[in-house]
Parts: sequence; C-alpha cells; structure tokens
Amino acid sequence: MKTKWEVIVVGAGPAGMACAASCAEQGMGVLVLDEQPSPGGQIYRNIERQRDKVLAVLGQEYLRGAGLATRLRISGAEYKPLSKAWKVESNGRVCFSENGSSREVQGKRVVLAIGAMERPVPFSGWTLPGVAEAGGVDAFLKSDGLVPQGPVAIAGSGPIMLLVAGHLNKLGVEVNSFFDTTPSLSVLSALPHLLPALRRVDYLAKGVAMLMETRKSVGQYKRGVSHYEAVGAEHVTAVVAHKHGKATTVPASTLLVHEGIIPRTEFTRQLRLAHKWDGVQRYWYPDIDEDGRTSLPAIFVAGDSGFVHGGVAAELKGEITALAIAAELGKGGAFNEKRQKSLRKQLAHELLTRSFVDAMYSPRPNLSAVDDHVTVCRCEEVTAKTIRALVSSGQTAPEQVKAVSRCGMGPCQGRMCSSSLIEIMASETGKNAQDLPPLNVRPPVRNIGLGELANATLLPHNAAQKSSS
Amino acid sequence: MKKVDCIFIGGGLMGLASALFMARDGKKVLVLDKDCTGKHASGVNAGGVRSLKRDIAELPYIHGALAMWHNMEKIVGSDCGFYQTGYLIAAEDDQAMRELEQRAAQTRELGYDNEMLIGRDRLRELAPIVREHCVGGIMSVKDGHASPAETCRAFHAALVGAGGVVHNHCEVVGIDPGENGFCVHTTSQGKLYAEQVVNCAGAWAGKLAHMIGDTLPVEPVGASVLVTARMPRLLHPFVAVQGRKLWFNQARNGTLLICGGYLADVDMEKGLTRMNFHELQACAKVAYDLFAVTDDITIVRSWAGLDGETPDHFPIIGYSNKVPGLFHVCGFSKHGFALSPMVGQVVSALLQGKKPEVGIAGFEVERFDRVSDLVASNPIPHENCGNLSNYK
Amino acid sequence: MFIPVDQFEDRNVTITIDKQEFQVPEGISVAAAILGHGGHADCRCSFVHGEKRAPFCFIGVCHECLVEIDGKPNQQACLVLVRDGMHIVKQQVKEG
Repeated sequence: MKTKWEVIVVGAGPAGMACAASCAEQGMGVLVLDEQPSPGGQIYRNIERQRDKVLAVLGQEYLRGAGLATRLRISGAEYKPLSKAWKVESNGRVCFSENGSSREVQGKRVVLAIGAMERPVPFSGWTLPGVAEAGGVDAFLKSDGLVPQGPVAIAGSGPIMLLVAGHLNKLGVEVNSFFDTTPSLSVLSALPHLLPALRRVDYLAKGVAMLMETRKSVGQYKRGVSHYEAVGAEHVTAVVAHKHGKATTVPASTLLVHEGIIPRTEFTRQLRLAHKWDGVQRYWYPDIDEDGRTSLPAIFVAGDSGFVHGGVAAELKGEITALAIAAELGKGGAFNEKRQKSLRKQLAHELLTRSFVDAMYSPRPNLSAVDDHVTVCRCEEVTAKTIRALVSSGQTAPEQVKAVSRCGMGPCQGRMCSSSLIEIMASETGKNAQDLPPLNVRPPVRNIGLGELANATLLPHNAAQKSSS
Repeated sequence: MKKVDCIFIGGGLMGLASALFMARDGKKVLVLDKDCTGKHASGVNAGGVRSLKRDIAELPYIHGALAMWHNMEKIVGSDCGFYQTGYLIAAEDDQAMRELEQRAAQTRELGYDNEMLIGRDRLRELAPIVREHCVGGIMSVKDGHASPAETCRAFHAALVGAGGVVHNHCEVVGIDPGENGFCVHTTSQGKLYAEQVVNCAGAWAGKLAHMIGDTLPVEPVGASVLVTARMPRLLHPFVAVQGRKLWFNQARNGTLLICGGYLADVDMEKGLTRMNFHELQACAKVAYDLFAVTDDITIVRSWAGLDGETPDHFPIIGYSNKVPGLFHVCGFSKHGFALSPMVGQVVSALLQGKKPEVGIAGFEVERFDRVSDLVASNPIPHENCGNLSNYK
Repeated sequence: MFIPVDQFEDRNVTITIDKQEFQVPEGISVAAAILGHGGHADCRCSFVHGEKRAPFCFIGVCHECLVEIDGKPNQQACLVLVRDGMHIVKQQVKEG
C-alpha cells in the first residue's frame, strides 16, 4: 500500500464519502480509513447490501446513502474498511490499525470526518444489559438485522427517538412506553427560531407526522418526564419514569435511551486544537472555518464531528471541504468557485431548521443531577459521589479528578464519561461548563496491542514533526 | 500584604512536601502553581518507589523516604496508594549478573542490606512472565508503588490543613529580590512578599531562575509511560532489566505501566508533551523481548509528565550562589517522585537554618559553575534511564 | 437480547462462544453473533465490581462489548466481523 497520499479521510459516513469521492474525482490520491466493514457511517450503515425487510422500514432517506457509497467506490479513492485510526499528527500523519497490525501513512491533508455520537447521560441502572442507546440499536439493525427483544421502553429526548420507535414498530417489536423528557418550556425557547424553519415545511411536516405515528403505535406516550431509571439485577426488567414527583413503573426487556447527539472530538482533542462550547446543545466542538479548516494547515474537519447538523448537511460539508482542499493543492479550477457557492447555498437551506431543532431539543437542565450512587465512568466504575467528594475536597480541574478517581481512564478513554464529568463538576462548583476544559485525549486514541505497537510500520521521525504544508 | 516566610514556586511534590514540613514548624508558606498542583510530572509519573540501584549519593535520601512511604497515612492522612511490591532488576546474561553482584557488594559495604541477589528460580517465582533467558537478578523487597495523583492530592490537603496556602492558576511573571526578601509578581494574586523563595518549578525551573537573575542548567523533558487495560495479576514486583531501558509494573488496579525513560516531544510554548511513537515503539520492543505475555497486553493510553533535567541527571538542591535567599530544588526528572517526602524534610530544615537529617553535599548548583567543562569531560549517557543504569 | 428480523439467512460460518459452537450468517459482527445468535444478553463483566455488561452504543465508542477473540482480549465485538473458526470468549477480567 502507498504511504503518501494527497488526502487522507478518516471516516466513511456522509461527510467522509462525499469528501473522499470529490477529492478523488478531482485527481487527488485519496485514502479513506473507516472502522465499519462497509461505507455509510452510522446513518447509511450497510447501505450496499441491506436486507429487504430492513430496507422497507428505513425508507427514502436511507437510500440517499446508496448513491454516495457508489460514488465513493467508483471515484478511485482507496477505501480501507475495518481500519481504526489511532493517532493523527499535526503534520498530516495518521497511524491506523487494520486486522491487528498498525502502520503510519502521510497525507498532505487529513480530513477528520468521524461523525457524532449519542450524548452519554448517566442514570440509575444505565449499565445494566438491556439498556442501550436508541440510535445505536438502529445502527445495529442496519448492519446486523437484529431488533431488541420487547417489550421495549424508549426514554429521553430528540427526533431520533421517534425514528427508532417507528422502525421497531414496523418490524413488529412491542414498544410499550415512550418517555419524553423534552421540557415543555423548550417550545418557547425554540419559537424564535421557527420563522427560518418554516421555509423547510417539508422537514417540519415530516417531524410532526413521525410524532403522530409514534403516539399511535406505542403503548403509552408520556410527556414531561423529568428523569428515568432502569431496574433489574443482571438485566433490565423494568423502567421507572418520574414526572411531577410521581413514579410510573413499566416492565421492559429493553430500555432504549437518547439524549441528543454530540460531535466526536477525540482526534481534534488529541491534536490539542482549540474547541468552542455550544451553549444550546451543551457540547464542545472544534473551532473550524466554513471550509472545515482548523488552525493546523494539514488538518480539516468535515461533517458532524465539526458540529452536529445531520447527514445531508454532513455530505455538503464534506463536499465543501473537498473543494477547499482542491484549491489549496492546486487542483480543480475556476469551475470550483461556482460549485462552492452553490454548495454553501444548499447547506444554508439545509440548516434552516437547525436552530429550531437544537433549541427544541436542547439537553434537559437536570442531566447532571444524578444520584450519588450512579456510575458515571462505566469502564472504571466511578460514581457521581466520588466525583462530588473530590470536587468538595478542592479538586477543581477535570484532569485532577480524572487522575485521582480514574474517571475516564478505562478502555473507552473517556468517550462515555467526559461530558457528564464536566456537567457534574460544573454544577458542583457553580462554574459554567465552558470554563471547564474537556479532558485531554492521549494516544493511542484506539486501544492497540503491545505487540502491535512493537511491530508497527512507522514513518521515520523527522524534524518535520511540526506542521507541513 | 503581609510578608510570608517562604514562597514556593511550583506545586509539584517537591514544593508541596517542603512547604508542608515548614508549615508544620509554624512557618507561613505559600505555594504558587501556574496550572494546578500535581499537574505535571509529580502527579503523572509511573509511581515507582525504588531504592534498588539508586545512585550512591541518593541512598541516604531514598532510605529516609522509604521509611516515610511506609508510614504515609500518619504523615499526610492518606496512604497515597503506596503498597509494598518489591522491585527487581533482571539480568539477561552472566555479564549482567556480574554487574548486579558488584552493585550489591558495594551497597552492602556502605551499610545498606536491602539489595539482595536472586537466582533464576526465585526470579521466575516472583515474575513468572519474564522470558526464559533471564538468569537471575537483584531485588529490594521494601520498595513499592504509590499513586502519584493521590500523593499530590494528599500532600496538597495536608499542607492546607497545616495552615499553608496554595494558589492554583497563579503564574509568576516577575521576581524582585530586595534587601528584605522578595517581591513576587503574579497573574492572579498581584504582588506577594516573602523572606525566601524556593524554585521548585520542575520543567520551568531554568526559566524561573533566569527570571530572578540566576542561571540553572535545567532542561524540560517528558518521560513517557504506556498504560494498559486492566489485566489479571501477572506480577507483583516492579521489574527492570539490567542494561536496558525498561520499567514494568502492574498497579494495584491491574493496569500495567510500561516505561523506561523514553522521551516525548516537549512543547514549552503550550506547556505540554506530545507522544513520540518511535520512542514508545522502542519501549514496546524491549517489553516484547523480555516478557512472555505481550500479545495479550492492550495499550489504552500513553502520557508524559513535564519535568526538569540537569546535564548530569542529578537533582539540584541548595541555595543559589548568586541570589541570596533563593533556594533551588529541581532537576529530578525520572527519579524524583520516590525521593520527594525526604527532600521536603531536608529542604524545610535548610530553609529554617536547621541542620537537615541528610546533607546536600554534591547536589548544590556549584557543580555546574563550569558546565561546559563538565559536559565535555562527561558526556550525557544516552543509554541512561533515569539513574537506573548509570551506576556501573 | 436481540432477535433476527430475517430467519432465512444462510448460516455458513461456524464459531464458538464460551466454547459452545454456533452457526451464524456471514458478514455479521461478533456482537451480533453473541447477542442475536448465541443467546447471550451480555458480553463481559466489568473490571471493578464484576457486573454483567452488554453493548451500549453499538458504534464503537462505549467499549462495553470487549471480548476475547482467538486469545486476544479487549476486542470490540461491534467492530469485528465473524470469521469461520473464530473463538469468542466473554471477557471476565477483574481487577488484578
């Protein structure tokens, strides 16, 4: 395999596929590294060989990915599935692991298109088998053709819950309860953003239709739920929903939760790039320009890992980044400028509803108000109580709490707990979450074997460890 | 603002420990850290508490310190995660074994009886994962492992409990030495006044000395550590290898810490380290050569704490010979953690004009007065892994 | 536990889960084999308290699906595909 590439794209979701295909179409040598076995990302997972029965419930929107995947396949980009990037360097070098062996490649430009993840929110019982993230289970359905065992309870907030409930219902899974934690006041904070959103009546109408359908199909639909918990010994057996101080218990074999989507920032944090705080959706996102440029000339960010705007926007952002890179590397031409303009217009149209949706489904204010006994760090089993005790004993920096408690030090490398660690510390100290820096990410960003590191094919460590252009 | 007896610049363990013992003697002390206490090497190192094969000059310190580590609960109200594991150095061949025998004989002669030679069978018993070719080794049973983060937390808390004051996120931007002590200019606390100032700024010690008009040959370095996922118990003692750069131990929680003085790239502009995977790969290769379990080991993380290093790899302890009232305690990179409680006692005594339990002869800064000569006649041994093998 | 939506797939790959043999469809993930075809509700036990754990995110971030595959521990079951002859062991590593 070639070592040097003009562009290395990490991730083959909508942003990665569009960016890689576009770069390759413009004559650049492109390498795509993706952890999944086939292109599509989470939204279009397994688009190339989907089972008919699943395809039937996923519908038109999912099919959009088919064109993208085909485009990537024929674009001439070198696509590497089941390949985990584990370190990105400021000079465009990327280490990745494939089939148990690691190597380093060099790109003139690296595009981080690693997408987003569901916001992990701790609650009592969330570590029990049978409790899973709703969007994740939907992705599992796409790739592996499996549905969770009913009765299923769905809890949390956000459009994805409705989508997943719809899919399960159509596949005959019993969804016995739907606990919506979206605060009723959210509608008010979303109202100012309604006007631009109205220009996308198609989108809003779809949302309303989904909501109506879900209400009809699920056993009980409860709004205004303040929080919920999972109950069981070695597996979830029941779900308790709290509303106005009253608890409702339902039996459940599966609890699917969803508390919104946050960008995956592991590489931008590993690179120590500047991040900004979004006060509405309450997450850190990398500081990039409209082309996805970071402060490092070799590093770009495309798609939801820059800011969560959804699959269609991600595709457009990937395309926009590709054109920007083409211009920098002297490819493309005058034609590109026109295309860039048109893409930006399409993106703006796509984002019309975003502020409305973000405000409507902003995280509920009590996310960090978990009971002391609740596990925050799933890997190292660190409870909220431990974190609070350290804060009250004077540990004011997330890194300090991490070092003493081991919160964020397990195999997931803080992916599941760092956002809640910050929220809990913020509410304990009375500080704003944006004043608490996110945890550092230390390479390898993916776990690798010691033998694999010993035998990895690394590029020579040269003076050009700084940024190259 | 009232003048304090002493301001410690740098909230690492050297500063925290020295300040703690001074505060307990009734002195007014301030610790300033531009980040937060224990943020750099003190709070993030491999946690080894090793007397085995320490440099001869450091033996009185480490034996004093070891006694303290075994008694930490009483000293700072926390055991600091210390537990006795023993520390052993394996010999890969007869030549290496002979070197270890000589070393053991030498420490015995000096009156220390802790370094014991062990044969092939005992080595296999203590560390079954060491590969077959190793012929024996040397061991010190009293050595152990502590949690650096917990140690920093505990010393910080004990210091505050003793009446000391810690200012985090307080950077020193200027120091005026005067006839009646020092005026220290800071970012968050304005001007602070003290009779004496201690430079315990680790990686920034050289820079700080320069700010006060002194010169110190202390360079920033970052020693890397590879950390694994938790594993079933593989071995109890710390294991090193004679003549090679490798320290290997399993913490109480089951994770392995693998290191050996492999360096990270240092970015002093941002005050951070960046992992150099060529160094880490070299480290992994040595581990691969020596341990029979490497395919099961999963690396989860790597890191490197910033510290200061001197040209001869020995620390600097003592008053500045240029600025009266300025005291340096720095240059401990890769081997300071274990020494820190004892160094703290010694520094505290010296600052109060008392006779310390252990002298500082050989650690004073004077030895670098003719740095260029020294470097020329005694080049830095690159194979040196933090004093582990520099004694031959 | 999970149920296949389609019962008619070819089951042409033979694997073992905790030494028990299963025939599973080609192209599925190890997580799918364990949860959907192996009759298991969990993948591993937690490191500190030994609690049962199952995949939570299904996209490779939560690391709850760590299993031992062909003798190698800490493999993410949701990011590895089944292979004929693969031996999968639910990971039982507890604090050393």
